[in-house]
Amino acid sequence: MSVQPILSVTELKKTFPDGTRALRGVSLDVMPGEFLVMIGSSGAGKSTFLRCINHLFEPTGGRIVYDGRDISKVSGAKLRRLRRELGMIFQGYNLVKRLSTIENVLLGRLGYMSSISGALGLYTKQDRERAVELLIRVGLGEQRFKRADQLSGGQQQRVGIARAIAQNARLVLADEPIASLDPKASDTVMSYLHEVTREENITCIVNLHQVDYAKRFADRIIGLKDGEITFIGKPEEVTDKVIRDLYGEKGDQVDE
Amino acid sequence: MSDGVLEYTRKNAIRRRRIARLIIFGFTVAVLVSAHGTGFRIRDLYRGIPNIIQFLTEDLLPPRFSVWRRFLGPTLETIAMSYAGTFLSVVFAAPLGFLAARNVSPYPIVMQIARATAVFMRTIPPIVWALLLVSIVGIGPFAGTIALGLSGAGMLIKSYADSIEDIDAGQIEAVRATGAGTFAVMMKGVVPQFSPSFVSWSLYRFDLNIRSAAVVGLVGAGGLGFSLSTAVRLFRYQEAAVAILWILGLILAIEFVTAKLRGHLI
Ligand SMILES: Nc1ncnc2c1ncn2[C@@H]1O[C@H](COP(=O)(O)OP(=O)(O)OP(=O)(O)O)[C@@H](O)[C@H]1O
Ligand SMILES: [Mg+2]
Repeated sequence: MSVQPILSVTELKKTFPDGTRALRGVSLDVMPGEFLVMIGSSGAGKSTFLRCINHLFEPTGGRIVYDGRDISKVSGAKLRRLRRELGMIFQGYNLVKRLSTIENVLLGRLGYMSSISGALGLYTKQDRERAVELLIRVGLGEQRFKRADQLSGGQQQRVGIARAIAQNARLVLADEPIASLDPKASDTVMSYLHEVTREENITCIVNLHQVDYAKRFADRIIGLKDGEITFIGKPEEVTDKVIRDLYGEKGDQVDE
Repeated sequence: MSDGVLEYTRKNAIRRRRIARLIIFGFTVAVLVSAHGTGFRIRDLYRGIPNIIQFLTEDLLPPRFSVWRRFLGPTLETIAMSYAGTFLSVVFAAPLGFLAARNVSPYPIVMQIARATAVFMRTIPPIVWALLLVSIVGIGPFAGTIALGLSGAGMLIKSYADSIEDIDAGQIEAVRATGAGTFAVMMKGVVPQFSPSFVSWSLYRFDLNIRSAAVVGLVGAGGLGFSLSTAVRLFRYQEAAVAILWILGLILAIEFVTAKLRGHLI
């Protein structure tokens, strides 16, 4: 028996109210445990794609099937249950800056709590222990009582990873997790993201600007251009021509 | 734009100059008209100067310091009124502030209602609330407290809502993306970002209430203002002078304390 894809997207479309057609029919199957990297120039629709999956944006067409369930249209409690299984990592980290590092990791548990107990921060003892464990795992055990905004960018993004894992996410959506980081911090963050999701067998879709990182970490690379997939393949299949096609004639990933 | 940049900007400059002249002209006319309407005469003001000096030096001064103790009670009453008034406003305004903030309000119609409530309460000055309330619940600090509470709530709803609209949407989105419920998103994503402005605005309102408390007191709503107006009505100006000093001292002291508190809390 063949393995079912954990995420199956068919003809996904997103047109914004202002008429921008950000996604023009994207179809993609993601297999369990895959580490997928999506590349493409600015405005290609990478963020829009991820945000349609967890309904931070409402898709305007197409079908999304996650774990055998049609999630093209979900709302209310169903949407909450979906979101807690999808960890999201943001370019701007989006930690709640005035909360402590540990509490930011604990935010990952909110999807499993009633709204009231979540609001009051009544996390269980196991949740707290797990959060500490996860922080140690991303090398931030000592920092757990620091306020989130006192951490460096790279450290904040590692907290972002811990928050996503704390959700017991089965699929992590990372939207340019290293775009605001220097090379050293980028290395660290990508390595942690790769390592932790491999160990926990979590599927991962990562948007990246940097082709070199994509080649280094990806199981498969998706090339997105003007809201359409123009390339799917193994890292070694990403030739200079592919990159030129994706990013225009300049032949490098630096755009704008 | 067919005129070219130079011609276009030149026309703009001329238009701006014309508008400026119009404003100055209108302003001058308004001053003259209002002076006429209120019977204001430079001559009268000039002739009144000896009277003013006499009032200051003979009636008001020196303050009769021996009565200072008499204002101790009213001072505490003013503080209590301001504090209770602030408390009322905060309790009332905190939920409405959330509902009035565009970025977190659940429905646009709710937002409009909350905003309208704020505008309505804010447009009515504390002294008008006080006048109304004194005639409803009678003379005393209770009327003053409610008056301060109501006018303060209007201001706080708007200030809270504006601060909430300024917070970082990314942090809220991240909490929402974990699958958190609406109330949890509020408490974990919005409140931590909002709390410094919340403290700041609430303390500022307390500051303002101390000032307003003196004013609403004048119409009988308790506190130092009431003592002051009583002294004036009995022509005991030297005692009134002491009351005025008390009010000044109190305002300065409270400002000092709230500034310190703000520094510690934020
Ligand atoms: N909220 C929005 N309203 C209208 N248009 C939008 C909105 N968000 C994105 N777009 C448009 O959709 C298109 C795709 O944007 P998207 O952010 O998905 O690109 P991206 O590939 O993530 O680019 P980047 O690498 O710069 O992050 C762009 O043309 C963008 O201007
Ligand atoms: Mg993007």
